[in-house]
Amino acid sequence: MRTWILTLALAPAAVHAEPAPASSRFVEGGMTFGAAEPVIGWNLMATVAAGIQIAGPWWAHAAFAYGPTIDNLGGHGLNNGRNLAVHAGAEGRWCSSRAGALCGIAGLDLGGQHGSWEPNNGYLMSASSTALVAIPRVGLDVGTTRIRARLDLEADAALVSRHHEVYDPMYPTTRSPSGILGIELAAGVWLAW
Amino acid sequence: MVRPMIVAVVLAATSVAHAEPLQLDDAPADPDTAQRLSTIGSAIPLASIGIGTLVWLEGSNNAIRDLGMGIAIGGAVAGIVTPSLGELYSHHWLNGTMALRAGGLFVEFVGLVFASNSDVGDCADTTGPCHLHASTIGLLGGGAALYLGATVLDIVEAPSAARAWNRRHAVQVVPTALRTPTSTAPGLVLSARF
Repeated sequence: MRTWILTLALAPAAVHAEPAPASSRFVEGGMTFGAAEPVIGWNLMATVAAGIQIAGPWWAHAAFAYGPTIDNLGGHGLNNGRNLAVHAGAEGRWCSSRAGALCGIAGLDLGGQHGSWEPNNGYLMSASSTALVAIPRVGLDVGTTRIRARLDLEADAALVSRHHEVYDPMYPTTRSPSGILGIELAAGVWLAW
Repeated sequence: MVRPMIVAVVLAATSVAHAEPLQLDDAPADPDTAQRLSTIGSAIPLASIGIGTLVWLEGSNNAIRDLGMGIAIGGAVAGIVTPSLGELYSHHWLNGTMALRAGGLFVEFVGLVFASNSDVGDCADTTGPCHLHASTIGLLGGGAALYLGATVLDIVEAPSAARAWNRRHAVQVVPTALRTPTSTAPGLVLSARF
């Protein structure tokens, strides 16, 4: 093993290595890709979100998402569906270092979700779904204290739901599906201060 | 006369010191950061596998279930590499734990094929009640144990990988004095081993 010795002149300037001040608020813009009731197909929603640090790793946040849906069969084109989601909750962020180059996120939201669909397939004329959902979320974000890229996985677990289908206008049907009503991958860019 | 001029030129050419980030190849690895990276890199894919599987089983329509399955599989594949983030950060590029997780995932996949309701599965014979064979249960359990064990190993071993990198590339900075023809100036000695 060789040892290299390098002698440096001591410059008179002060040398700082202080961490950048941590941010405690953010706004986020992004997109989600997923699937949710009542549409049989994929959804693509634009999202906006904002959050504030409560204490330590704990943050509160709220998000809004809206967008069209895409057929998951055949042509993969728009299929007359719409999904909307509004949710808010708490999340924990745990970072690899004080500067937070990589952070892991886990959280739980409560929110509302509404979707509509008119598939025009000859059988189902229209469908709509409105639900109160619990949304467990995990994800990660990378970047600086000011600008971060974020990727989340969200599942929409039904708490209360109402699903309305029309096969025959004379006899619309209503049911209350349970279980998981949707799943989304959300990607966004964080601006923090 | 020549020596003072050389010293003056060297000092004039020396820029003011900055605390900019060092190149990764030169930076010492922080054992705590290494362990946090491995922990985050383990937790996210495991959570994705869990959520994806839940949605796969409990999704209310085919598109939702299909996406859940895709996310569970994607999380499992990503989880071959991401628990090793702490070791990668510590410049330990090839890890046996990645191979163990890849092997575990393959064994799990074979177990799932035998557990599935397919022509090669344990339940292919429809004349009697369907029971999973002991070998299938062994494959499922063994694959999961291999995958999870290697993941835990990465979290535990990440700080050691960082310390090993630091030992191999130890950097020491100590104060010293520079003698000039007319006086003595303060300086730093930077010592590194390669």
